[in-house]
Amino acid sequence: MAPPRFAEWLIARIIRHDAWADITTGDLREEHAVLADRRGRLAAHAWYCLQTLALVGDRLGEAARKITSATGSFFSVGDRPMLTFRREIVRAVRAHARQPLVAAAIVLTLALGLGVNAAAFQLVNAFILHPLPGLNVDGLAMIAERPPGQMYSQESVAPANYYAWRHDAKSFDKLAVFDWWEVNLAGGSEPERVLGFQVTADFFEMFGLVPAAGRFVAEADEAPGAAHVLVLSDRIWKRRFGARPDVIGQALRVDGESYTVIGVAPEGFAFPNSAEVWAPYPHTAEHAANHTDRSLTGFGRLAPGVTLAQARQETQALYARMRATYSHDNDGLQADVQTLAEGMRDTGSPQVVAMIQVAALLVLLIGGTNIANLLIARGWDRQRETAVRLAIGANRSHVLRQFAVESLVLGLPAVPLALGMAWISLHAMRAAMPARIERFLPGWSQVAVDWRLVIVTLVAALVAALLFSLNRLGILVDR
Amino acid sequence: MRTPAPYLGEFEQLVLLAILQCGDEAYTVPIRHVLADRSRRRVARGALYTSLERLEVKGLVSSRLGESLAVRGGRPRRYFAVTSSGLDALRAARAVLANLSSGLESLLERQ
Repeated sequence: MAPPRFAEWLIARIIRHDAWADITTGDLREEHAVLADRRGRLAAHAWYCLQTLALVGDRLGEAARKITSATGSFFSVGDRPMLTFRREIVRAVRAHARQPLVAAAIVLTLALGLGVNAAAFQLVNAFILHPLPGLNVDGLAMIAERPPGQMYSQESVAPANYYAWRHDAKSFDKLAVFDWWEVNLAGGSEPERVLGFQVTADFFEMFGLVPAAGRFVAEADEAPGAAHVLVLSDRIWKRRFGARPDVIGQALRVDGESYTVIGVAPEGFAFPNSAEVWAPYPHTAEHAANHTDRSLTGFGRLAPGVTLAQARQETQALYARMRATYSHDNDGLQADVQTLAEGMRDTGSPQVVAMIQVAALLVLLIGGTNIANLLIARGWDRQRETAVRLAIGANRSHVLRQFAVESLVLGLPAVPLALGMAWISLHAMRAAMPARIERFLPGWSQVAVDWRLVIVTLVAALVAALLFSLNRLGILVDR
Repeated sequence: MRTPAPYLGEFEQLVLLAILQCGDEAYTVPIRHVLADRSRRRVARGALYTSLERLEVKGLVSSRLGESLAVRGGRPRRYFAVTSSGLDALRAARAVLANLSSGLESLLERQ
């Protein structure tokens, strides 16, 4: 029966330059086979993995000694703290190499706790902290008409009320709306159903965007009777049209009607909700008189020097006037203004994500408790050594530093493992989310391991290492 | 004048004794097991191999490769035997221990 393949490969890699490489590998195989006959496959595999860990530990200890001797002359003059720190790293590596199973258990437990929290934090980042990644949303605010107490702000503006605000509001220098527009698109490739939005003229400029090709929707395109025009997303431009520049001016069939492509949005822009095409929201007489059909989502850019509170005040005042004029259409509702990020946030997701984060923190807490117990158990084994050191004059800060270094030597290797676990779980989550739901979750596309997550995980590992060392000092010294 | 036997460290003595205990089947696996069982301490694989190599360089042991075996993934065993120089060194080390322990029997006897 062969030993675990990965462990055997790892051993072969570590000792490949050793004169005894063949003997070592052969001995391990033979002992593995004997153990498998005597105690079964699982015990033999476990033993083999332990031997692998021991070998890795020995090599790390050797490497630490080589670094010590190579840098000894560099650090030996007048840099005692660095020399001491280096010695303690070497000591810590050797100490852990003597008990590889305990060290491995600690690293894996910490990695699991950190990995779960890394994945949860990324959900918090995507759904709560940065729900509209990659977009410049500073100074953008959402306007809404809704009953008092209702939090949902999207699809709440009537067309006529929007036009009134656009005409009268001074606290916004641009105001736009968008309306869902799921259509059948033909031309360029096989017909397909795509998610689109009808938007007003200032929609793209609100984000400071420049078209990748052609132009965006202009006010003239909103006029009744204007030619049907279409802006493509970068994604659909590449997918259906092979990123051809001559797509500008091409006629497509949209729900049976002819639309001319006038522009392509920049790469990565798919606002809102993974949009693939945009068309003008027509300023028809019917829309201009419609104070009841609240299906539009309205947002705008605050005028220079205007605060959100001031914009809210003016919006509410204008709405009160509309209510006075069209009371049977707007009665019982009130206007509100909030940041675009808040308005686009899915109403239920933050609570769910917060619960996931709390659960992840509990997992880390339980894991941390287990690790603390393991360290304490090891600490009791070294109680005599530490007591002697304190008795002969070592101070608490030195002992604490030793424990901190030992904890760091375990904590730092847990970071890449944790990030690997986070990557796997986030990847699985993204793969499992149906596309028809994903479009309603702004920020979902950013659920992945990024530099912020690496830093947060590293900091969490350092904090955990410090807490473990403080805990051990408290147990060992208080007798 | 007779050449004095080379100095043997404690672990080297144990390794030579373990080789003798294993007899004809003195290859690395049973040597390590005998050492660990009888000295009741953990024997690092690398430490054993290093010690065997050093003993061979000193001429205190000799080694030969056995046949390649399937159970070892096609790799051979390396068998060791204590040379006459090795035996001399062991006797010398034993004599030193006896010399220094002389007169201390009552103190060193197990209670």
